[in-house]
Amino acid sequence: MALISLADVGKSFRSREGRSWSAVADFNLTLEDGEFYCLLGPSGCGKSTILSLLAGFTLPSAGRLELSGKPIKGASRDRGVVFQGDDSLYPWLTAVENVEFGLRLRGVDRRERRDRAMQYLELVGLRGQEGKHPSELSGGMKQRVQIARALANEPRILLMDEPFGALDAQTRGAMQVELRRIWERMKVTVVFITHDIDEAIVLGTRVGVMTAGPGGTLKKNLPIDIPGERTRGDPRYIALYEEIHALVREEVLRANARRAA
Amino acid sequence: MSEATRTLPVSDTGGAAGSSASSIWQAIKNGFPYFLGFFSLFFIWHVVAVYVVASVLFPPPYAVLLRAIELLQDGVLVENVGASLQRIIIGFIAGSLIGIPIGLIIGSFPLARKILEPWTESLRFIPSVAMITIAVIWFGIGEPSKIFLIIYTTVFIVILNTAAGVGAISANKIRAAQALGANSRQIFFLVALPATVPYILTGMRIAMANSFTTIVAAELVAANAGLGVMLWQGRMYMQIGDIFVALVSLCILGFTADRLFRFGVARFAGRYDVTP
Repeated sequence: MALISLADVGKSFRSREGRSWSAVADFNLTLEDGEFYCLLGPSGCGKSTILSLLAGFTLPSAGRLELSGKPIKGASRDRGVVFQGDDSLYPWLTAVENVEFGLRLRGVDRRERRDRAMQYLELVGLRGQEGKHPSELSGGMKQRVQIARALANEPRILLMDEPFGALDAQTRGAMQVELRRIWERMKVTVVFITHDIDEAIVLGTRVGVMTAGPGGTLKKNLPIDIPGERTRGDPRYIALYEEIHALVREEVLRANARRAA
Repeated sequence: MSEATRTLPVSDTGGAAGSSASSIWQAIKNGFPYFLGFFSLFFIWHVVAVYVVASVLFPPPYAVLLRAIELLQDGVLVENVGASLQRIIIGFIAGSLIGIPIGLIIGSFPLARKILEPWTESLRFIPSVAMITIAVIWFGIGEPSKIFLIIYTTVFIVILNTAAGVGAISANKIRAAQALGANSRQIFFLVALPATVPYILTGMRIAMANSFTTIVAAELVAANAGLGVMLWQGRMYMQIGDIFVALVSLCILGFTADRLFRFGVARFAGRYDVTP
């Protein structure tokens, strides 16, 4: 059985003037255990809405959304979330206190949760930074804290909403390598939202390209069959990049045409 | 990666002697402009009082100091300052204790906001000074009327700031907690409440300043003791010195109270990152 399945999922919102508009429509996807799935699309296509639905922050207006055959009815600790910005971290807590927050909610005793939080801080390369508050950490370090916080809770799925979108290019590249390493070690299923084609190919085992919004849907799924570390000079990388680029470009042009009409 | 392992080049060995000397120098460098500011205040006051106005109606700083010492010795100053301060402390604490939960409720529940906002949004525009007469009629000229007025002046600003603080919590903080398995009680106590603390403290600080205004006005109208009484009697008996002693006392009290509050925040709630 698929770990996650979305069947004809749609989500519409009501605008301030009372008009209803659809963010995603007829979205179909199944995800298997252990995948690193990158959802790619132009801005406004509804990819963050999909993540929000998977997390359970919002409920679908149409279709079925299931985790191991059970409908997703709300947020739960089996789905950890890493947000794009750093505003989800708790500034009054230190790095390690942020990481152990989920364990604290469950009543894991102080010593054990501190030990486990330290392990995850080490995993994300933040050993020695545990006593710092988020305001004392760089953007990349804050994202590491977020990743450690989500993983320390041992979720089945890690949902990431453009987690490196606000980082500079060097930091982003380093974070991609680290994330890939962490995923290989933890064997957690990842759903990764991005608008960066390169990022999707470097990270994913599969890339889903969305159509332009509003009412975005899945246009095409492409498996990324490049074992080991991925280099940008690899002909398979180049071929995939060209293919995905053409798909995205089509959607961007369509969106522009629609806007002009 | 390097970005994570980067450490600040701090040398904490060998430089101990040099760093303490340089920290004293640093303290002088930071403190001097401040000292200069205070000094110029008294200096200009002196120049204006002695050379420009040159009237008994505007005593210079040293005359006020001498009078203050006299009033301290016969206990008048201590009595009046103590009376005002006690009212402020009781009213301020009570007002904050009432205001914080109401603010949290207004900020958390849209229905509560709709029901309670007509109260706060109408009553807060009545200056506490305007409530003095009715407070005296209701509660007499004793302590209860003063404390009522301080509560009145404190409660709305604390409510407003607390509610604004709850409203300013980013949705992602709540969502992150939900995804980590928090129930609504945990979200309230472990996320919403600590996230609101800086706003609550800011509201309390403004309320503290307002309390000084209110207490003086209330004591001017009706009281047996307090700085307001001192000011009023100074006018009645033309004791210019007493008036100035009361004014300077207010200056010092307000300044000290605010510093203490900030110190307390830094000491006990430093992690909440309050705007100074």
